[in-house]
Amino acid sequence: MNMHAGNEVAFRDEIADFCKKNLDPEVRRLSDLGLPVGEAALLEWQTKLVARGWGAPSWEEKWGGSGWDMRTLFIFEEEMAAHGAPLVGTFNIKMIGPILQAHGTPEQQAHYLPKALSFEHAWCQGYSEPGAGSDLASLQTRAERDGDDYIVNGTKIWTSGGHLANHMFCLVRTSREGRRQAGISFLLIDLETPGISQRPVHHFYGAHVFNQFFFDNVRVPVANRVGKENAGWDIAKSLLEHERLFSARHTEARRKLGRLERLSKDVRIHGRPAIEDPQFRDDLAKRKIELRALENATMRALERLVDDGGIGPFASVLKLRGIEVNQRLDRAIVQLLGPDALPAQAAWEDGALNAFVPDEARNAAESRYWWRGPAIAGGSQEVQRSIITKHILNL
Amino acid sequence: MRFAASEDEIMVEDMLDRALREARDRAPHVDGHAPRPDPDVLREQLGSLGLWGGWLPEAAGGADGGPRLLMTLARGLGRVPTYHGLIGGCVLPGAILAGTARQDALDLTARLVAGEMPVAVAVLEPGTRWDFEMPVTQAEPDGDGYRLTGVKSHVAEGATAEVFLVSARDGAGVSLFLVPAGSDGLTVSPFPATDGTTWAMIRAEGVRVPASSRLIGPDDGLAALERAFTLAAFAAAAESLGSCEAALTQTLEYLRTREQFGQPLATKQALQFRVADLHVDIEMLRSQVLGAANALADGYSGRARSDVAAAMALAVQTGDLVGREAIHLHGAIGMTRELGVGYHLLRADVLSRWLGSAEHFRAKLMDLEEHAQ
Repeated sequence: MNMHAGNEVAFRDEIADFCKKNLDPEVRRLSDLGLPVGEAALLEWQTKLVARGWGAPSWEEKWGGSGWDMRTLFIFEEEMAAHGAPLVGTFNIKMIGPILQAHGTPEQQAHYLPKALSFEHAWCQGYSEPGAGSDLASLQTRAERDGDDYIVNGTKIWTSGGHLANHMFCLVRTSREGRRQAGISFLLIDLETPGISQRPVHHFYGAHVFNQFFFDNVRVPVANRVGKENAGWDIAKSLLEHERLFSARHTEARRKLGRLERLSKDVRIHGRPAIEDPQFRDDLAKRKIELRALENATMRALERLVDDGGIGPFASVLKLRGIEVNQRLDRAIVQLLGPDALPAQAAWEDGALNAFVPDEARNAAESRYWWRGPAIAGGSQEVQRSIITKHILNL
Repeated sequence: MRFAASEDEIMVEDMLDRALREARDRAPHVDGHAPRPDPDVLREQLGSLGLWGGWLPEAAGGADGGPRLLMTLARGLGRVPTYHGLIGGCVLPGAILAGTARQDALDLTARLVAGEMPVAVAVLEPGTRWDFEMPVTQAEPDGDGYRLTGVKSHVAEGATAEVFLVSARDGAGVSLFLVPAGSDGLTVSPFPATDGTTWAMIRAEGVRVPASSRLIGPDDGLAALERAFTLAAFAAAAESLGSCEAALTQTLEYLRTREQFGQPLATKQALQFRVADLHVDIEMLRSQVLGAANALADGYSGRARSDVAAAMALAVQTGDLVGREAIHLHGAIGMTRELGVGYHLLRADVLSRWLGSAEHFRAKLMDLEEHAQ
């Protein structure tokens, strides 16, 4: 199915209906609050999506994809987020799946794709290292040939969800000659392999998202290399173009705005609902306007994507502003809550806050803290500014 | 509705750019100041090309170009410093006059379309900022006509207008009267605004007008004003977009060529990041102006009005920021009229003082959204 103006409304309704019928209200509540919904709930949701044929819409149809065009894919993801569907298996569905379809051998595809779709495999991404962040090409983890294996030594860090994963796709150095980018290969590593150890790296406010992995003479079959030796850099860069629209993070911002608007009717300032307070109203209007402009910018980008097949450095504009919009919304929520944003996550677990603090306060402060991260990851805000300067403004 | 410019729109942009460039090249250099096109010649040329009033409906002498054409026109004019008079001389009176079926109104509209500026809209009053809902100016029945008394402040294109559209309290409502500039009891006092444009204060002391001079009202007067000022705000947002684009382009060119400490300014990361942020702000303004144009093209709805309010709130904020940054990034030469880049700050300020601050448009957006629910 592909989108024309006429059936877009029907398609959006179909998604809304599916979510209403299949999404556990508790899961929806947690994902609206920006909280993790738990592994069991994610698996259950993915199973329902797969049954409906929506488990990996961007994939080729023979692997369980939908065959939709880019506009339809965009609408699907936007509508899913709008109805509180949790983001499932980003590394499985949006990263390793498309990469294997584009660059994997038939054997790799047949072995890994079904397991990525069913979540039998849970993937994590091994790109960053302690000495290689925004300057990823300086990575040092090395893989040396030994017969039919590579021997991998080194360390990977900032591995989101690594403690929940059983497989890692990984960039390793296989050559020190020529350009730094030209000596990197793309490996698939089973995390059960001997010689791998892992430690949690806690966020400054306590959450366990990041991990560090250590590789000590880890044997990885050469058959687990995706693409040619030393061709890993371009493979890692080949993110699907339609995913670049989501660098605007506008669906998450839309959910935050919903939360802020609900709170603005309940929280009182000088005895009146906050929505009647002139200063709060002005602040809320700022948030609404900048999000609306961001959404229009995203629709412009979608139009360009459909017309030209790509959006080029405009993705940097979307990312830069999208993160700022999300961060400002989080701050507005916390400021409106005032003391109700004081309890930590753990305080919600024993019910002590029930009836004292609105449920919408849950995870408000932690979300603000978590959102410092996206401004650093995937090319920091400053890297995006440099891209704009060089590739758009031609300075 | 699409965001990207259509082939027709690209053609219009090219025509406009050519006309503006030629007008600027013909303009005299006075005292070494940056040249400004002669506004009368420019308007006549744009009128004869069918661009000036092309956004108006065909029934009113336009080309049915609608908000998309108005956006293209206003944005193009924003790119070249010029006292064009589009909003005060064409958009405001055109929107009001085209909403009536009267022959005298349509005759005036035909002149607007040709690039003349016979009509000015006199609505603002002293000390009331942008609240035109409750004018103090009063229309009292007087025989078979009315007697108008009151003060109208900051009338755009008022110094040269032949006739004013004056808002006045009329019983329980507000009406709009056509009042000739030469009427007995009407005093017109021209003054210059900070961007170099000429405005007027108007005092009506018992000005007698016939019953037929009441063009709109008293029941639908405010709605007509609201609609006209929505379109004016939309045009102003589009003009600000053009103004910001031009200011940034000029600034980038300067950064590439100006050398300090032995290197072009463009190599300094502190300056690169400032212009990168300006670019992001301008992209957001562009996106919202396009969104508002498309919403307005679908009809004058609550959503369209709130999209215009959002566009103008962004335009005021972004116009001010880009205007200040363009001056600063040029250094001392940015302060001069000789270079003229400061025009963009002057213009951003005047549009905001006249039509509403960012706070004003944010409050409007909130009210519109609440009433939509």
